[in-house]
Amino acid sequence: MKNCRFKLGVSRSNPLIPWLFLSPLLIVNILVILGPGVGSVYFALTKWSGLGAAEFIGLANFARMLEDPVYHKALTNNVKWTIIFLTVPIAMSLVAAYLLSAVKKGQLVFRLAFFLPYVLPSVVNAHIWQTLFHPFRGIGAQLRKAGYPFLDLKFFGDTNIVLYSIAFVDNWHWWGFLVVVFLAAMQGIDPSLYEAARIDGANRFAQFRYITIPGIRPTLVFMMLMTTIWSFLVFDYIYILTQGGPANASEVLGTYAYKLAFTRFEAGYAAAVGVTMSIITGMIVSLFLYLRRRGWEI
Amino acid sequence: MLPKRLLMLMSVAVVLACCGQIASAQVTLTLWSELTMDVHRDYYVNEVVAGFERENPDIKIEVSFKEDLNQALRTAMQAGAGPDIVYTPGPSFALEYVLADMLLPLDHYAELMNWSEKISGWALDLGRVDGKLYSLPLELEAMVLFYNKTLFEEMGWAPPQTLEEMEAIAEAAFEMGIIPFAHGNNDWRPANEWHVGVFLNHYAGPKAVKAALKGEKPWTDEEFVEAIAMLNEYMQRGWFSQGVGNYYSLRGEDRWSMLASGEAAMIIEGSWAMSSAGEYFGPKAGTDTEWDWVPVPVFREGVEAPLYTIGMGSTISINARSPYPDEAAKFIDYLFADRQRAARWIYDQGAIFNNPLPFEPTDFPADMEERWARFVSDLAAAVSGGNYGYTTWTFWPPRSDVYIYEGIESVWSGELSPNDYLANLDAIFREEIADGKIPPIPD
Repeated sequence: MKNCRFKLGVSRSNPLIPWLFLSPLLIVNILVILGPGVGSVYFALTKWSGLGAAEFIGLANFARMLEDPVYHKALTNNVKWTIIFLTVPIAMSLVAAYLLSAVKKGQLVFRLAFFLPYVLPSVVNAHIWQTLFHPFRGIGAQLRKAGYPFLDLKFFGDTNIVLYSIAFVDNWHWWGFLVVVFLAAMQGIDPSLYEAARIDGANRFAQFRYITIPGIRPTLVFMMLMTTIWSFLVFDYIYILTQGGPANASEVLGTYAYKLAFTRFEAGYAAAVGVTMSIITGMIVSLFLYLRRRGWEI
Repeated sequence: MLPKRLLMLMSVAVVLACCGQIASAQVTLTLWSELTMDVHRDYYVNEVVAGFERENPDIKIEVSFKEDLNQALRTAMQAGAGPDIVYTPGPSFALEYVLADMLLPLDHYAELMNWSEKISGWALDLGRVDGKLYSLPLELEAMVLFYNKTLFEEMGWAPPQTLEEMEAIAEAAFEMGIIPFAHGNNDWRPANEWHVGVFLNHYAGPKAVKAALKGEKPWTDEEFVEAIAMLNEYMQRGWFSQGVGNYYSLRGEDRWSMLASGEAAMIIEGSWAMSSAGEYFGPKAGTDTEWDWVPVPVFREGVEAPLYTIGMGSTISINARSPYPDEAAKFIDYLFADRQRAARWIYDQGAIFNNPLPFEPTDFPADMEERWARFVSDLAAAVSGGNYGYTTWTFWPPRSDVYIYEGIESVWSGELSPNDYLANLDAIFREEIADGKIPPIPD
């Protein structure tokens, strides 16, 4: 033991040792994140097909974005997506986690049931809902045949509802994950607070409002922050279900950048779109850090 | 004993070294393919590639199948790597690699191996950029009209030869609750361009399309506007899967199941579907129906019939960085050298192995599936006569092509008029002309 303590003492005194341990990760990060990241910023200033030499064009790609209706639509859809995911799944999962926290027997079954869609691959989830929403064989079509046509909608074919239909599918897999996260956070709240509140006559809603929410605030705010960031990076469900269509009604920045780079051979413009995505998410993270420094308990 | 053992060991070492030398004399070529179905992949490796290796024991080919060839290839080629034998998804993709100096000019091999005698002239033209040959097209495909033969016989409908006949069937079917055309794009959004291409070519005519592709006339000319208006009218009438909402929701398997079950009467799709149509029809698929095909009728007087709007599913080239260009050229030559061998590949696997060779009916085995044989020989005759249309994914540059299939959805949704749609297309097309991005157009 003495020998061991001695070695630990040496490692603490040598500032290079921690860097040595971190260096593999650092090298990987420089190679796969920082390098391509800096490269993207450069290519955003070029006209480049993705092959051969790039032609420097300054800020022309960003100027083009200002007049690009598809970019505007995609950005708007990202904002809508963010609003949806900051409200619907958060509210659903908070309520479900709170109710579930009072369940003593069989809680695990519910947790598993809620969590299961999250572990299924997005392709599988998407296919399930494509089948359920099929215009000729899905739920809506069957109800229509039975005389109840209220659900006979073209979920992935109607430009007015397609974004919300995809958000519904994504939320179906996502909200269960939030339930488990919030439930774990709620279990860290001191039970005596609820007991005191009950003695003071607080009902379940008041307990939720004044004990649960403040008690899980760091987790809640963190998940909201991550939800915002992920909402600007969303890609998989939209690409699988509609590829951004119809008529760009479900286009988001991620799908648009992908198509620009890999089908239109406009890798320079795609990089510029990607840079704006990074700027937006960077601004969100900066705002979060700023508020923390200002003393917000988040 | 020791010297004897040493002698033996030395002998073994010499033999092994010789073997090694023999082994090292064998060249290994890399090849990336985008074939997606297992049955096609197995055939390609076990019949096409293995056949070549048997004839050329000094050359081995390592085949890798890529789910997204374009993406994988682009990354590799840009990094200075990539396979020796370069397949691309079509001439417009090959052009991007040519412009980046990543493909080897093939003129030397074309002369050496006499390709002008073996390969159709128009197909060679498709691979020429600024007078130099860089690629050879593969997978000759054409848009055709598939129909449920059993349903047609029951209804007393003759396979349509003219627009009037096709529209009469569509109207009758629609009134009976049968979907006239089982179209949809849920699994492949670019499916939109199949229809845009067919309507442009079959209404405006291939001469007008060719002139526009050469930049000699704008896409906003009246005949193109009318063609897109006609396509939009078909969609708005509900002839495509009973409406645009269904169209966006249906996948390939849905469409073909509906055709096989008689829920739908017709499909306008590429000849590649002949390879898989059998999965949906007949006892094996649990139906008692049969399919057949006819050329898509022309949509306007003055446009010559039969008209096949043709495309190429892929191209083949040699990586400019390949250390074995001669061996790679041998493999390319193998694909085109023997018409009867190539005909056998079509016989075994269908239209997806249809290389652009001047086939004659006698090239095919006598018991060739009649629908395939008819397609290959009719198409070869029509194309050699010069009457063919131009599919958008083969002859349009990339940005224009993507706009064609994405922008048409704005026409169907009412956000754009056919005229505005074509004006936008024309503006993008002019930019691509200026950038030298127009794929070769055969003369």
